Amino acid sequence: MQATDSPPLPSAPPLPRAQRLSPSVHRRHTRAGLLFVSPWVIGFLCFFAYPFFATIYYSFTDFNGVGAAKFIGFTNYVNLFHDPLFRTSLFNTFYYTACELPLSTIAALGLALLLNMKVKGRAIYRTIFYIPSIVPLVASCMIFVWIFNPVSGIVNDLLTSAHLPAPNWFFSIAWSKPSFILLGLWGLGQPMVIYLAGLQGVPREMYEVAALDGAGPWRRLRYITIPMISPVILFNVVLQLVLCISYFTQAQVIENSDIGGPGTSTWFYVQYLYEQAFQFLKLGYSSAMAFFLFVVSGIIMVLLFRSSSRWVYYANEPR
Amino acid sequence: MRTSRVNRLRLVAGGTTRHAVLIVVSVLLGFPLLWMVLTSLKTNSQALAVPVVWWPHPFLWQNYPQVLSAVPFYRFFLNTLLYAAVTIVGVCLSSSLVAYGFSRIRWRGRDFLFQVMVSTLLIPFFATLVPLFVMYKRFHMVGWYLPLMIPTFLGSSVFSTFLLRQFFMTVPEALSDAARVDGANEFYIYSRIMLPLAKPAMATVVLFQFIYCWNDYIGPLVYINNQVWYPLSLGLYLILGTYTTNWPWVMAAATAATAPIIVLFFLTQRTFIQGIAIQGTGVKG
Amino acid sequence: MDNKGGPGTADKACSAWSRLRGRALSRHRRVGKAAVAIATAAIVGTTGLGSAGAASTPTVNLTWWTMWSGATLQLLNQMVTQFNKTHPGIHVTETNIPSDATTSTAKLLSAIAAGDPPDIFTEWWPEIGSFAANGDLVAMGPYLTGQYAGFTKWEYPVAVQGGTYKGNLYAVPMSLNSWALYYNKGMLKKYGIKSPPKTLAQLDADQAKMWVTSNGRLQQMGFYPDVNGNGFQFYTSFFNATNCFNKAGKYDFEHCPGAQREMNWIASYAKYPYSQVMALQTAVGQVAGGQTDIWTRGLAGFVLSGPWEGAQNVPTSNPGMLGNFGVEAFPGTVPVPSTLGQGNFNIIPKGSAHPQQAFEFIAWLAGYHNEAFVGSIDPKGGWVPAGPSVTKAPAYQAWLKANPWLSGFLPQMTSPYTQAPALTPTQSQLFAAENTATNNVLQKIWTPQRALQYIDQQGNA
Repeated sequence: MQATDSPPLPSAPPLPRAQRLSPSVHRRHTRAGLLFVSPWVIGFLCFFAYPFFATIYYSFTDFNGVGAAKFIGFTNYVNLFHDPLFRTSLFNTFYYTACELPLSTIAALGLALLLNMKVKGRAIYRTIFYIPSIVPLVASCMIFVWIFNPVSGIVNDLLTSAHLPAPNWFFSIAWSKPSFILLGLWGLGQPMVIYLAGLQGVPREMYEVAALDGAGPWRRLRYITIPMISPVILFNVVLQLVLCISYFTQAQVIENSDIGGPGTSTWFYVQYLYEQAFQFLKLGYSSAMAFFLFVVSGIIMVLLFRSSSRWVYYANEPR
Repeated sequence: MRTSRVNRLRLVAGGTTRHAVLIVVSVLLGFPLLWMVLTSLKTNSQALAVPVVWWPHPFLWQNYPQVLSAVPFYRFFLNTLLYAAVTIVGVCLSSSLVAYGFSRIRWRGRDFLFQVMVSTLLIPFFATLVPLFVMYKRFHMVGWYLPLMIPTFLGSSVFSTFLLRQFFMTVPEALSDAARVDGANEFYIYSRIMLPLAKPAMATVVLFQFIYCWNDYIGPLVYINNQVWYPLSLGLYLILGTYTTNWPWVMAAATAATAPIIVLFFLTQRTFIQGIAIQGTGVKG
Repeated sequence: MDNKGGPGTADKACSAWSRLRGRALSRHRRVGKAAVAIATAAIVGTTGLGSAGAASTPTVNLTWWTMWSGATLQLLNQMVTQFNKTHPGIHVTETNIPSDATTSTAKLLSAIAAGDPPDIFTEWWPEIGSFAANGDLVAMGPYLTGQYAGFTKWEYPVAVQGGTYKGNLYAVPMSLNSWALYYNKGMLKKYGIKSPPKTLAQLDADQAKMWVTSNGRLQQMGFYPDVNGNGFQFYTSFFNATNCFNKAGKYDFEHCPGAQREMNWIASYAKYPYSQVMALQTAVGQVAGGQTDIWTRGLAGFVLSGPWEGAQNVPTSNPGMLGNFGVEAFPGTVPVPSTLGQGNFNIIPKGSAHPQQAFEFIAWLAGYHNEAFVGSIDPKGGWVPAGPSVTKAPAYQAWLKANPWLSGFLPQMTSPYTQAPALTPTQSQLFAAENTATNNVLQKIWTPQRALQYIDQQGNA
């Protein structure tokens, strides 16, 4: 029973300190090591390094994918900052991220805390909590649009019978973004399981000592749980952030099927990038958008990691 | 005496509250899927009825064969299996090699390269998409799955590499040393000792890659043109665009695409949950 | 069960290693075999890859890209089969790229640019102007000789107008759309309306009686300008606002009296709940691949639509409606009848290896010297043919007789008020802008004047 609830996590034992190796052995090891990782090195050069520099190059050109790219200097960037749709899509992505990131963190952590309680049948609850996150994204879009349909959906049926206001969800400019956020909050299985594993790594004795000191559940959460799992929080926040910044599938499925997202109210950044690249073949312009995306997400990541030294606590690290 | 009874009472009450909370959350999270299945068995007029009809009567099972034959759904299913099968081979081969190099051999620059690999997780998919598309276009590879398959043979699945590396690091060094004393070279140790030992970790990798392919939407959207090569995700999208007139059909298609993955999850739950947990706890900052 | 942690000691591991050596290999082979088997099944089991080119005589192979699915796709397949049967020297292979128009367009453009285009591509007209202006299309003029000399005379005038850019013919429709006002007889009766509306004011007044909301949720409606994606564009011919240009040849809808009247009329429907109409449309279905809409479900009094509405949608989605509806010319500010000349045009992308045969196929699809066959297919799709002589085919005549409500769709094809939008390089931007404008006016985000300014601005960009 215990084993199913708390999987034995292989924690990496430190490798023996590198002994002084003779230079020839050292060379041999380096050659063997590089040979083993060479598939990834080739992949990295082809699928990250090359496209990264090519994106920068294309962003200064007028290019439709075939033939020569025409160098046009900063024109794409200038046009970008005068493009109202660029600003709209940037704002929408920011709005979504600013809401989804804290809400999903709280929700996933909350679910993990619930699952970490000592109750019978935890495995069943965990299964139910996890399943929404493996539902194919297109299918979850279908389900949400259907149950949130303002005219025939079950949600508004329940809301009106409870005499609560029934918004127009995916169909109204004011409610379409919150609808997408709800859709995002449905599939949090992955961060939830990661939080759960983190919670199970917190030593029980710490809670017992705190309880003896008279700390209530809230104080225990604030002063023990959260600091102890802060590396896991950082990890999940970073992954969610990457997902939020490149929010695409759900918005594209729902808008292109004309079943929600009125006007440009849920027109997200990479959707616009995708449209410019693959529908209008403005590869230079979309490369400028891609580079801008790269820079902005890079800055956010750096800020996040900088700030993390203040709030992330590593147990086995000297403070 | 008295206090213990109070305690027990409190415990029972606490247990009930906990269950109540857990059940409420379960209902909230499970309801959309339940409603999907219920809708998929209704007639169209039942599905649209106001007030809502909760229980389908009768159960309209023929919604399933009807919608699944309205588009070449089985073909989409096979396409997805093909996509998954090839990329699983690719991921298992390349990720295990790379993971071995990142864990079982000590060499200068190893940890730096590993950091680089992990940090590629932070790069949004779209930041590099355009030049890759142009590159595949030049090689006349756009239109089929090659652009989605080739990278998996070149260690594109960072998560799998990461997971296998975590596993390899738990295997005692003495094992490799014994083989080395026997005169085994690194490739021999990798293929004959480490790979067989890594079966449980490999199973996790296979599972995750399968689910990734099953749900992948953006990749096929960008690279697959012809409908005969659509995977399930694009097939579902096609159904949504074509048959929104008939929501029971749409829900039947959604159920048909979701059910296999849920069954797979039930069968492999432990491998699954452990895999995710390793992913999360292994990363240090 | 749980051997994940790995063996405890090196000794144990070494013996495990020797035991595993034999087994590991066979297991690997089995996995490999399974993967190959699945792969082969997927490739062999489903398409005849490479079987198309296996014919022994030197045939010309043509590829045709279409973007339909469902029932329409089946009709197209029938046509391809018939063509291949009757034209031994040519073999057409159809590739289905079901997606929205812009995606197909991008795929076509990148195929042209890569030097690997299809021979025939079906396009809704908005892109033809930009394709032609960029030199991406084969002009059809050189093929209009010999047996095809009379081809443009054979077509309806709007078909020629909609396929011509700067005096050159670039596109030929395989079917044309014709739009008119459908009404629900039962609802008219229920609300005491004696006869279908003959004027715009009458339509507005009649439909206003039919809106029903219960519990804050829309249940039934009269008429709404934006259902089925029918925005500003689709009503322009009824207001003489199809081609609004100024003296410099730029779009000028802002100062075009017809466009002003039309946009003000659309704005008068902003009093109805936009989001609820869209939600109702999604709930009961929308026209996609020839399906259904609010009107066919009997939940709207009126709708602007084409022959397929009564010919395909009603029988498949609500047979109870048969005999319970009628069709009138849509009342606008110009004399009736009129309609927007528009359709599904076939084009030959630059780089096609066999443009001559491609044109032959396109003309055959349109029904030229092929009236009897196309005349039997068009009724199934609910289509108006590219040329009037197809309507004389026995099968088409029989269809018209069996469905008297169809009578309104053909005379308006030759009406002087029927217009096709002039082809311009920015047509698709214009079209998108007209949709955005319609949505924003109906949601009270923009005034009609602001909306027309936006259309001009996008159309002239």
